[in-house]
Amino acid sequence: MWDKLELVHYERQLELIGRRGQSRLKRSGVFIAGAGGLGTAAASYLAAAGIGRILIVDRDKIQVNNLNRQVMYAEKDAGKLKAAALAGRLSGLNPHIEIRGEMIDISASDIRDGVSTFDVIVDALDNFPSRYVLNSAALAQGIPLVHASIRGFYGQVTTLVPGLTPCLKCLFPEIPKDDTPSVLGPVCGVIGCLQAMEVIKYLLGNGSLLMNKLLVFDGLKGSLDEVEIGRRTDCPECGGR
Amino acid sequence: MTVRVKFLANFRDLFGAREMELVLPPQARLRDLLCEICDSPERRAQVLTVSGDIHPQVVIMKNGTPAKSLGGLEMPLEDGAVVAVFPFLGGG
Repeated sequence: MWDKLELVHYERQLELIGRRGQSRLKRSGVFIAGAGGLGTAAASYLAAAGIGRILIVDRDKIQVNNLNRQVMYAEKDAGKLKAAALAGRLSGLNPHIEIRGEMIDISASDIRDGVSTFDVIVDALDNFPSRYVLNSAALAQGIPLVHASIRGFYGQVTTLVPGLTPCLKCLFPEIPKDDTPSVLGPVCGVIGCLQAMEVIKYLLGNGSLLMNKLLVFDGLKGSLDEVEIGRRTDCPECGGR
Repeated sequence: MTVRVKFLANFRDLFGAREMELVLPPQARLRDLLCEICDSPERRAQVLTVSGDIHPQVVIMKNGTPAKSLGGLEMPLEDGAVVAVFPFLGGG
């Protein structure tokens, strides 16, 4: 059943996706790993669109130097846990959905059971060791993983579907030494929104997903390019399955 | 053999092209391709380390598979191969 105000909230998209599509979003669950630059953008649009159940996980607290790109927080929020703060902010944006935030360090956790009840996983993390853990969990549960990452003026996004596309380890078997990259805020916004779009398309079964291709955004040129990507039969994680 | 190289993000300016076609000798490897295109100190410095390995912040793929899993600099090339060069993006 729909609340009257709830239908008004979605009024401008109902013509596009219909009540059936809106109901499908409401019945869906999305696990968002990371409440930083990518996560704040992706989570905001997924909550606004009416994903019925969202869990945001992040290990960090808000710092003032996050605020050039993590625009759902305020300077007065410094020191608060990001996941809870973002969930709180977005429950105000859309009070018709269930949205929670949990302080979890994915790199040090077994999250395979934690992701099992969700339809899609969003990789909005800021480091590859944690991404590898998320990739393993997605593969173990057979759940699509919408990967994205950014650096400087550039960003990338792809949708990894177990059994149909490469996994993250197929694409990036080795990673450089960890660092803290500079980034311009709008790049996070663009890429996080593309992740939200991928999730919505997947849940609705509409359009074409970024499967077997990596979309690379060049913010300086305002261009989007695709790199074809493929599974590796020798992948230590998925074995090309 | 002819190999197509696609440059993305900052590598597009570095090489002054979106993509280029290279004619390489049979049996050529990635090392030969990089030797051919990294023809200035700046290009070498951004693609290769001082010791001559692939720079850790650079991703090179052949037909959608990372060069690192195909032998790195010794990755064999074949006629018609598409090699993509783009930056490693790790942040979020």
